[in-house]
Amino acid sequence: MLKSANYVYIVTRAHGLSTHLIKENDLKILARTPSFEAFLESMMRGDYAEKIGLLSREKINVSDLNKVFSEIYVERLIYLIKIAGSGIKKFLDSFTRRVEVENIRRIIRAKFHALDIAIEDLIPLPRTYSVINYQGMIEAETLEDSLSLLGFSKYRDVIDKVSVAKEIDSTIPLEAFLDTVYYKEVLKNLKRVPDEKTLKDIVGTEIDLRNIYYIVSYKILDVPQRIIEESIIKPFFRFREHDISSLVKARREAIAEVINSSGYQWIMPRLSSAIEEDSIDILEFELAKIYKNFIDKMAIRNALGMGYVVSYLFNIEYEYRNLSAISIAKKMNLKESDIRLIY
Amino acid sequence: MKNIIIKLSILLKDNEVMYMSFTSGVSASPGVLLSLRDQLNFIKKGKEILEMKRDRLAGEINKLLPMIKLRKDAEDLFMEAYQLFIKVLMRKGIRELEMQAKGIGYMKLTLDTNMIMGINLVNLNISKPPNLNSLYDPLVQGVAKKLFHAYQKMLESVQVENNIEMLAKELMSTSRKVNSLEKIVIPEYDALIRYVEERLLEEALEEFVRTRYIIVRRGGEE
Repeated sequence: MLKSANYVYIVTRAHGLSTHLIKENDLKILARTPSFEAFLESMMRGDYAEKIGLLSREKINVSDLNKVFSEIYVERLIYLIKIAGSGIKKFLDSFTRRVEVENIRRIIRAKFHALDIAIEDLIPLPRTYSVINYQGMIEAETLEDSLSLLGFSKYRDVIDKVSVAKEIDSTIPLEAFLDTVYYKEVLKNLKRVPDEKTLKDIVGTEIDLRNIYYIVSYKILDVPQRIIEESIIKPFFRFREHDISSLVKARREAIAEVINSSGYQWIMPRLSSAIEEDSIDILEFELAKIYKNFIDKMAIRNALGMGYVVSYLFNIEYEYRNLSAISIAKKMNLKESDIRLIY
Repeated sequence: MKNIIIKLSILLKDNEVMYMSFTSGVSASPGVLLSLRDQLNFIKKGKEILEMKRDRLAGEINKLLPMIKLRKDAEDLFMEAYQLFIKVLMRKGIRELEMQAKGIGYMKLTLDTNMIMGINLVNLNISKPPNLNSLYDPLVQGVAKKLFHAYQKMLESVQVENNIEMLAKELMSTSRKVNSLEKIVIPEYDALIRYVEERLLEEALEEFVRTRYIIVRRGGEE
């Protein structure tokens, strides 16, 4: 079937843009740099050079540097939307709304506990990209007032979760609901994209792995079942409703058994040590690596399709996280072996 | 009992003055002797009470001493939590971690005092613990729980250390008082009473001799 010019263009651009991403070997070299200053020096080339160059060398700190990384991350995400057209644009737009969700999440947390928050605490987004009135949400007196400003957006129903959140004194129901709305929107919009099956696989697997991460970790942390139930993100992909409810109810020793009986037995060999050791740290790291390997495979299988584009979007995020980890490690004079990168 | 302790404290504060008064002239009269005996009884009673207080303080300190190792436990927990915190900081980034922290809210700490043998012992209580279960990201929640656990242990340790310090100070002061009563005040009082008794005896003998002399002289004249 002949692909549209728009489709071919976006896939080709994603291939071109991928060359801007830092390669695995270069990441290892960055992790090996002897100091924070040497790391900065190494970053003075490529996409980061211009913004880092604007920072004063004497006063530069990790926070400023991470802000640069986050700005480049958002710019890269938004650039792809700008050059895309029609259905693909809509899908990419909904996909990159995860940044918008993160910002709403930050405001909700602060408002829920009546803590201060400023616009500078949010991830900067171009005005044309996000229509959410963040300033208004920040200035609102109460959580309800703040959420009422989402009335015209797809997140409007989050206000219905306020009573549950207050009942269990946690923002988890609100945050999980925002994720659910986000993923539903992404899945709805990918129906207009040619590689629907591949994309559904990528997005669906992300939802399922996030559910595994939250449920298993909360179990390790002995979080009450009521809160765990509220943390579930929908819709499920390979999981059935029954699998998730079994996972929620399972005793800690039975977690592996429940995952093995679902469509995710292939991840268990890498998760077993984390579950046995009750280590959320290892669990999170392994799941991130599992997912990274998964999207890399999908990118190879779908190298000439949207699968590659979405894997590029994920790789932007992984690069942001890896650079942030290295910069913090360098500032704290940590050894190379202490830096855990995802590649 | 409290009265006795206060009186003794006043007495011991003026120890130097009192000691001087032992050596200076004391009018020897049965009234003074009675008063001195009363004072000595009072001081001995006070000393007994102070000894009881000293033993009780020592007992309290002994009870708390095994808990001194709480600091090491707390420091180990802090180190463990710190190691995890570094990992989480690297995974999540500074800004995200700061924003996640907003999902907890404030905690409240109350400071009560508990009076034991006149000493205000501190009692620190977390009246409103932070709601760590409300943190969405389990990795952040995990490290927050570890840090809070270490903080609780440190709070316990600080409380124990402070109380031991207060009790020890009071124990030292009480021991000094007991010692000074035992070694200085009581022997001096004993000496003073002996001195007054001897003076009174001498005076009585003198009086007896004088009376006998008068009687004998009057009897001779008659």
